Parts: sequence; structure tokens; C-alpha cells
Amino acid sequence: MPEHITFHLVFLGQILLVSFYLPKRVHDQMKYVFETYTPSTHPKLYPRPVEHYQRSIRTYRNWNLFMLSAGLLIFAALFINPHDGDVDNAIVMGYFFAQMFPVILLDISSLKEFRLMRTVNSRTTRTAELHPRRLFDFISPTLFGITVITYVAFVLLILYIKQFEFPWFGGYWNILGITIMNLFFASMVLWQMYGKKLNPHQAYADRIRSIETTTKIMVFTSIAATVFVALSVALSAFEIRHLLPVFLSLYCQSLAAIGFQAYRIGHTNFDVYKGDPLVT
Amino acid sequence: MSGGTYGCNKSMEIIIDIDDAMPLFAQLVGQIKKAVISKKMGPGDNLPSIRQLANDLELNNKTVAKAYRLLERDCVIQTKGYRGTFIHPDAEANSTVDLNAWVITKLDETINSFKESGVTDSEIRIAFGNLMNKRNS
Repeated sequence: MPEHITFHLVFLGQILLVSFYLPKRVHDQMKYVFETYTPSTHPKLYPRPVEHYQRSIRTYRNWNLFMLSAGLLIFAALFINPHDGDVDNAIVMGYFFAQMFPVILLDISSLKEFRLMRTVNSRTTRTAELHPRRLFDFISPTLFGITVITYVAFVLLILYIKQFEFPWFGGYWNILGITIMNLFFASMVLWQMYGKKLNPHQAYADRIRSIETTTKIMVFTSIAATVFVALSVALSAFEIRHLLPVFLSLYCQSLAAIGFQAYRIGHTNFDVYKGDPLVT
Repeated sequence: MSGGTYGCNKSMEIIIDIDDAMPLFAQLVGQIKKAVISKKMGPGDNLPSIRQLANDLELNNKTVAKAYRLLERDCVIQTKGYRGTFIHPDAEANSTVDLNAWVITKLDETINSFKESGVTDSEIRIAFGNLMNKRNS
């Protein structure tokens, strides 16, 4: 029974963190930017009519409110009628994917905005820094080393567990999955470091900060995912798999907390968006 | 845990204008030489890769590659395989050498000698064109 209570508390934490606290911070930031850097003073930030942005902010808030309500309903249903571990796992993971839907909408919307900004950008001058960008400009060698050590330790753990021939054990598929994930993250970092600039007005210092944030998100996500898979294998091996929903929910919360760092405006230079309106 | 080393090395911003009459590769060559002459970049300083610079400036890779090739020919930069591209030890002296001005002076001298021998302008143009075509074919 205490396990059920722990799970319910952790799952409530997931609902409130991912569908209320973190989205509220993003929503407040969006409102702050919209009210402080207005379309009249910073027209390059708003290539579409003002109503579009007001509607987008409302849509983002409503989606999160919907997810929050749905989460609380699921929580109440689970509380009244507790399930076994495997069902809880499916609920935690399925609900987490649904919680991330507004974030996906936000990312798609940002990409569309940047594309529009590039289309209407009438500037003929282009600038670049004569300085090569390297991985260790954005993360410390220590953090990179920790990531590599985590991966190697994970591979060794999988090889060790494999010799016991557990019927539930995925074996090398675990290594393959984590390796593919790391390759994907590495390609994302390389794309950020050397790829084309998405936002044509972004100041160079902001771009560097953005690359640094993305790189750190990828590295921390890689560590979190590797540790989680290792933990789930270990929990199963020690026959305490019923604790997995708790760790899965904590893992989802850590992923969200890491991922939402990308939306912090911090010291963003908004002066680059000043100027003549591009689209009326 | 931050890398935090970015911006510690001296670096320089270059600006190109896509509406300028001067070719883009020539703007790049000129600005890198200017950075060397003004000591904003010195011997051994690392330059960005062709791909990074091309993407940052929204140019074709070939344009940046051409600029780097010309700078390497003039011994302003040197490529050290996978380690990257660096400012040449003699870059400052070599940046002041204007090969275009030298070509114009030499051609002017040659054309003057042809004219003194009675060769007409059209004969010079045709001969020069034929010679260049023959070299390029």
C-alpha cells in the first residue's frame, strides 16, 4: 500500500510539474515578451498579424489546462481504483506523451515563425564570427566524460545481466536503443553547432547561448535516459519491478524539467527585432 | 559544468553585403586580410570551417572554399588537415601584397610594349582571349 501512495504522490507531481508549473512559466514568459517587446516597437519579432500571437498564447494555455484537467481525472481514477505496475507504467508514459503535445505545438509554431522571418527578411548584410565552434566551447570536458562513463557503465551492466538469461530481458536491444538515442542527440548538437541559423535576426551571443542550452539538454537527457533504462533493468533483476512506475514518473519529470530550459529567455537581446515593420 | 570557453579567444566579426558589386568571395578575402593587418587575428589563430562560415553567412560552401583557397595561395592562411585552418605565420606581410594590383601593373607594361610595336587594341584583345581559352580548355 505505501508503494501506491508513493506512486500517487509522484504522479501528482508529474501532473502539476509538466502541465501546470513549467507551462505556466513559459506562458508567463510569452506574455511578458508580448507586452514588453510589442509589435509596434519590435516588428521583426512578429511577422504575422498581432491577433495570431494572442491566439497562440491562448491556445498554448488552453491545451495545458486541458492536460492538467485530464491528469487530475486520471489521478482520481487511479486513486479510487489502483492498478498493478504494468498498467501504471503505460498510464504514466502515455500521459507524459500527451503532456508534451503543447510543447510539440510550440516547437512547430516556432519553426514556422523562423521560416516566415527568413522569407520577409530584407536585410542584405550578413555577419559571422571568425571563430570556430567546438563541442567543449559549450559543455565542459568533465560533463562530456560523465556522459561517456555513464554509457560505458550501462553497456557493461547490460552485458553482465545478459549472462543470467532472464526471460523478460531485452539484451542487446537495450544497448542498441540507447546508442541510437545518443547518435540522434549527437546529430542534433552538430546541427545546432554547424547548421544554418534558423532565426535570421538572432544575435550571435544569443545563438551561442542557445547552442549551449541545447547541448546541455541533450547531454543531461542522455544521462537521464541511460540511468533510467539501467535502473529499470536493475529493478526487474532484483524483482522489485513494482517500483518502476514511481521511477518512470520521476524520469518523465526530470526530462520535462531539463527540456523546458530551452524556453528560458534569459539575457536574450531583443534589440535585433527593432526596426521597420516587415509585413503589414 | 559550463564549457564557458567561448569568446575567450580573440575573434572578429565579418560582414558581407550580398548587394555589393564586389564578389562575395572577394569580400571574404578582403575582410580576413583586413583582420590580419589590423591585428584582430594573429598567426596561429584558428578559423572556422568552410561549412560553419558558409552556413553562418548563408552562402554556398563553394564560395567560402574559393575564398579560403585564394587566402591559402597568398599564404595568409594555412590548412593543417583535420586540425583545421589557421592564420599563417607570415600572414601580416602577405596580406599587404595585392596580387590584383601586381597583375594590372604587369599587364599594363606588356600592353605598352605591344602598342609600341604597332599592335592594335583588337589584336591584343583577340590574342589574350585565345590564349586564356587555350589555357582553360
